Amino acid sequence: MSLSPSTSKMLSLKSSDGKVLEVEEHVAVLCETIKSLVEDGCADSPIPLANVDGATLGNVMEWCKKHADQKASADDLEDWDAEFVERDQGELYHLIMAANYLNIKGLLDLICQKVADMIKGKHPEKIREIFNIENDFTPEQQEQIRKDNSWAFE
Amino acid sequence: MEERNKRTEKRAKGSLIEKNDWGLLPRDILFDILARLPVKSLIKLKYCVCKLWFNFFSDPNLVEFNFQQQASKLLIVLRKSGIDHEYFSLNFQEKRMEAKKLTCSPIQHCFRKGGSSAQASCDGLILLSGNRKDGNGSQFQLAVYNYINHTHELLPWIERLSEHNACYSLVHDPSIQKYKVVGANEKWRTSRPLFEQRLKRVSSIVEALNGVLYWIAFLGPQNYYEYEVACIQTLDIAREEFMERIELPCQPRQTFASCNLNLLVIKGSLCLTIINPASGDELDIWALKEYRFYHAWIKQHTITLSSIVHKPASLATNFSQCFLKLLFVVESCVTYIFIHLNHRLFCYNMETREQKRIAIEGEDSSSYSPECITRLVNEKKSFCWK
Repeated sequence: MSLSPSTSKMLSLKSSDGKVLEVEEHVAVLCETIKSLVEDGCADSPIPLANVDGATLGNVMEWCKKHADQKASADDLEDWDAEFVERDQGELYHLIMAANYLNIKGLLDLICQKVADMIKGKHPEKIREIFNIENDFTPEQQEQIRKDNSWAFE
Repeated sequence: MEERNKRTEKRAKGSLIEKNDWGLLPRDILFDILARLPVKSLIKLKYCVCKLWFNFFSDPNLVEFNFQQQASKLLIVLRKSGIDHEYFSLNFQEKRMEAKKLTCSPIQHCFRKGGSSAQASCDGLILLSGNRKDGNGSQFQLAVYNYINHTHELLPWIERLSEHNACYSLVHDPSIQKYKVVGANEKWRTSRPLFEQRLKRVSSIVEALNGVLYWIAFLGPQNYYEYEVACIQTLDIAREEFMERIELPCQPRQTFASCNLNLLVIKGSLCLTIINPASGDELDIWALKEYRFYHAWIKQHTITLSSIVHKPASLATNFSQCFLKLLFVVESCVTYIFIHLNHRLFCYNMETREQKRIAIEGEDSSSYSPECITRLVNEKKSFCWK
């Protein structure tokens, strides 16, 4: 990263597990949260990001770096994004939380779409498993709902 | 190669973080994800996952959430001679305007073949009227059809209102988050003497804006040498009370008077379109400006038919002839006019003044007539209906 020819100012970001990441300012400001800190002149010391762990922060900054690159074409970015989201559920969860916390709309959109694609057409049981949801319908309620809305289950 | 190694290394690290709890996902993100699912998936999930999701999908305020993924879609109902309606969807965001055919509605079983017509539409719900299939011949029936989940509801028969010559509208009442069917016919009277003159007939062209329903009413002449007078009648949707009567900026041509008038909402104000009584080839669009104590009509546009469609000089068609099929849709601040002319459906952009022909999937142009066009942007809203 230090070999970067850019003269952009460097910011240091400190993750929840204490890792410090040096990131060019024009890359880091893709995060609205960091951007407002920079604009308010509060970005001097390492910026503590208490809700983002080091590994996730690395991934997020990788995305920001690609998207801050003026030379990348739209097609190129699309392909790159498609590869970027090929991750397991755990990573996606941490990315979504980080994108939300750091307020990166583009990344949040990307991951939300990925998760939506993941659960599309999945059986409700499987979805409960993914989202760690407990089925709080009683069997009677479930049966009643099924009966009342048979059109939905055709 | 090095780049790839780096990526897999990171991935491996990520998967080490076993503890993730999607259950802790903030609700707005969860709903952002769900809003991206196709309606068919949502219908299944609504009833099967858990009470939180069930309640979420049952909430009529669902539409308040930002369904950014929703494409701007229109539902076009076409009528073919002798056959009931066929449903098409048109996506505004696609370059080529092609109306795609949708699956046929099961509601057709309720009506006699060819006997139903689309009266009104709202958020993907369509109000149909026609003769019931069962029983003796002329039993009038109203039904609301939900195009999204293919369900329908038959409306109870109401004396004096369930008639073919009445006109109906389907409106959403935000105060109770429900849809209402409003009907009126020429026998209709109000408890308050709103009309000194006899209400002769009402036009089926209605528009709802800010909780008020507007429609055009025709008042009968008091003397034989007078013409009937058109005016706008208003109704408070929530209180179900009639409000004031609004005079029109000018009276329409007497022939096909009801076809000459149309109401629509452009950029938040009620607009009236009227065929210029003198030329018959020009369409004037007036906006109603409301001041504290009075209304005023301001002329916004004048469109000539020949400027919209390259009409051959030999063709005598003027606006009033294609007006029955003339429909207006306001989409992201741009108003489009749909015109059915020469057996073709056109879409005219009032901002850029461009017109496009709309291709209808699987149809040769001459066999249909458009009956109703409605927006489907709120298709998830109508999904909650029921």
